[in-house]
Amino acid sequence: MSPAEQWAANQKFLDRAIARGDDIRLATPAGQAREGSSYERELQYLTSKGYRPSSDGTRMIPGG
Amino acid sequence: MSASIPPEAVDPEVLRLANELRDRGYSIVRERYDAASFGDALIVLEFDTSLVRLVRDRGQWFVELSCGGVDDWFAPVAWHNALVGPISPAETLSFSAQAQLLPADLPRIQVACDTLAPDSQVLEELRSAREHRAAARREMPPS
Repeated sequence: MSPAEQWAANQKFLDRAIARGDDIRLATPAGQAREGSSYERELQYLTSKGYRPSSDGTRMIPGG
Repeated sequence: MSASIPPEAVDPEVLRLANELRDRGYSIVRERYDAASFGDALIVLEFDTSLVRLVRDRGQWFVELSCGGVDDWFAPVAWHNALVGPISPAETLSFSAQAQLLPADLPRIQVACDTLAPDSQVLEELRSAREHRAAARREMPPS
């Protein structure tokens, strides 16, 4: 799967979760995202959709 | 480089940094490759009290440093922010750009590692630098 295809699949997954208003559990705390990583891109995408990290950094929550 | 990581999985920039580190006295103390998990890989090099790890995650390589006895890893930009001065979070530092910080910063990092305790001020500054940079970068549009 190419990087573009990977991102499209990730975005589809995230869009479904966003549409449901789900909290998204993070395997790595948001504050430890590696710079330029796919994970950071996912966090940026969620942030652009109004998500914010929970106070303990372990979840992204809508409108938080 | 051990045969356990396929040569095609190792970017030339990664090989260049690993070779430079070995020229500076570092030796590989751990190496792992997981073909079943997107080809994720890990190489850890050690010299005295400082540790450098090269991580392949979802096909991307990253470099991070730690010290013996410290259970946390930090990118070169976090070390630079803590020990030298800030670099704007608006600038996305590639593997190559992060690696280029190391020749100048490595002596400072090694000195810091010689005295770094789990409750030290430097460790707090590293964690703070990483957290603040990540928070600022989250506000940027996805690239």
